[in-house]
Amino acid sequence: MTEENWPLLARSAWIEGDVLVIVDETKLPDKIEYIHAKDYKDAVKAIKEMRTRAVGQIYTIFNAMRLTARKYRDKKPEELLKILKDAADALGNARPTFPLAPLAHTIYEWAEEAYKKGLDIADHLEKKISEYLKNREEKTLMLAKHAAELISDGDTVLTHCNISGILVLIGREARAQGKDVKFIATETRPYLQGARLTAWELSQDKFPVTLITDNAVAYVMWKKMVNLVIVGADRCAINGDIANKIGTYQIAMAAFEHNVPFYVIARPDPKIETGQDIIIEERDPNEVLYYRGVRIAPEGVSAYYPAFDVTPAKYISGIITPQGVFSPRLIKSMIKKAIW
Amino acid sequence: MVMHPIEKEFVERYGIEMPTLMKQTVWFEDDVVKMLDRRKLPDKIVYISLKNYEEVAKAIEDMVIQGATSIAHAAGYGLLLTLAQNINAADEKTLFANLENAAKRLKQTRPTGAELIPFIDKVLNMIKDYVARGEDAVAKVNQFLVNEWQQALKIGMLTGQHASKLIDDGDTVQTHCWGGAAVAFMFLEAKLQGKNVKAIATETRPYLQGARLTTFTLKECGIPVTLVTDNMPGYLMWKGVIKKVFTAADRIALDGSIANKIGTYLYAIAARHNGIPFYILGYEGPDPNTKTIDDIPIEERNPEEIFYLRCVRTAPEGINGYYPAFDIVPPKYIDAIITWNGIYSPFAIRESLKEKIPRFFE
Repeated sequence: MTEENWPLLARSAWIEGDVLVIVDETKLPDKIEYIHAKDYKDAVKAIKEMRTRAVGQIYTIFNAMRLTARKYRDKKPEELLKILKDAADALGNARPTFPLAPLAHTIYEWAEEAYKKGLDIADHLEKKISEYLKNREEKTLMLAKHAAELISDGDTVLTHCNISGILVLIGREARAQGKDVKFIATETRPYLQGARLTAWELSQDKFPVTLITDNAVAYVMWKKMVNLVIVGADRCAINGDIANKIGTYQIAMAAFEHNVPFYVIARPDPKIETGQDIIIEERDPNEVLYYRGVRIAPEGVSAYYPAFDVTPAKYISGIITPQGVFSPRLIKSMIKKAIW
Repeated sequence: MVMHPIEKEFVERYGIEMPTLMKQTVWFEDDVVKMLDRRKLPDKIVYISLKNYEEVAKAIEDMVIQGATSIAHAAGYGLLLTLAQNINAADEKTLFANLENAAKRLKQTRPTGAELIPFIDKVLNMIKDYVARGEDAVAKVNQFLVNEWQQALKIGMLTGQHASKLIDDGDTVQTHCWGGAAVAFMFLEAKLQGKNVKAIATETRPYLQGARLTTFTLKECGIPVTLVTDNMPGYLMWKGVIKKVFTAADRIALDGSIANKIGTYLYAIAARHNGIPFYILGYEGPDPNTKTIDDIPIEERNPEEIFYLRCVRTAPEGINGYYPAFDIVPPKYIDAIITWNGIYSPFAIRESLKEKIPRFFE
């Protein structure tokens, strides 16, 4: 895989000259627009406004820290460290419900480590960040290969929400293995990530993709139009339960009833025992009541918007990781191997 | 505005005005067919005038009106309009030829509902009889159609009364799409029985009948209603929020399988996996001519319709869409079908046909 054709959503923030370029995901698929962040404060703003999400947030944080180190590299080490600490705090707390803080602080700790060892902080950070992202992308490719092996020639894969370019990589791997693959994307209300991002990125790569509404899932399985399901996960407990975008659980039950394998790309978290321990973010009901400013229900009607749901392990055929595809029941015993 | 007998009964029993969608939403007036444009709800209550049967057929196809019974009634008004337009001007042969053309066109509008074709045939034969007997066919057919609307409401009321017995105090009940009058009657009856009930309405993409029609009508009935997207019921069952699911059916087969708005099957599966009862509001019961699940046609609509949400484009160009308008629930997922004359196991639904439906309004 060459540098330039890595899927856009799998690496949606990078440095050009002295600015951080972030893909504005809220503008997709109508147009590809970029945010040009001059410093980490601009990056924090982009994360807060949800202009970047999922993998995009990770790339934004790494590159914002890298940019900050480059910009202030001529300062005294103590001052640079202080600036980097402020940046890590601001970036880590940009979204309270999303665990960005450990990531931001890992990067800061690299800076601290360099300072203690008397190394050049900016150079050291540059090296560590490059290594980390390179490693991450290699792991992503490994898991895409494992996922592609689950696909047979002519299969149709149903997916939900958006997995930031990983599905494109899986499709490419399947193609490289000589297999034709088609996709069905659920639109994923209320934010329509499936319609706006998944259908868009797959069609950019010339994969046949069919959009359905979220309620059509069981029917397309009943009609035998789906061979397997692949979704991502925001959280994975060590008992194999996962949390992902609201609607995933329904899809898992429908797949179970129709003997359609249901696979989840997940990073098991040793600190979470079961799905019951996962806190489900509940968002502003207005996001359900309005679409792009148009109200869809009468005044005086309330709404409820849980952003995620939990799919119990019994519905999951396999957890896809860079090290291979594991039964969710085995995550507990293989937790060290399965971490990526 | 005259108050029809069913409206009087409604106001007396429930002490509220009849909701907009349960009043006549299609009728004959001043040589046009008037129809409530359900696509404009809940923002605006707009009635459009349809000047010929082609416009009526288009309105049915374009979802100005929805619901199997309402669609059949609308087609009946298409025939009445054709009758009124030809009764004086044309000779009998031309009149019947025009009526046959209208019937043919109206039958081709929506395939999934079982009532449409038999209803059109019934109205057509009725017209022929009245004309042959030299009676005032326009007035007679008009009265028949008004009575059909009242009859349908009465059927909905009886269905809702039986269904309300299955609801417990404190229940939160999920619906899908707009299940017609029986949904409103079920909640109103439960309320009369002193039960505290709440509703969860799925928005029902792509046309949002749940967000626009169900919430609108339940609000008019004074029932607390919460809107969710179509991907949320599974989670709400898992959380123990939803206690029961009730939907209507566009068609019930004699083997107990049902067809209803796309998504119904998904909720039936989710309910079964979460140990929650899943009920069908079955009104008049099964269609005697639909023997099994294999005899139910599923309408597939233009995929373009799923690329928009209230006229705003949601999807990129250059992709495919797939839009089955209905899905089928096999009887094993259905705990009961509730009809005008009782509560039946889906496997015994044919028993409901043994009792003839009385004519409540003549």
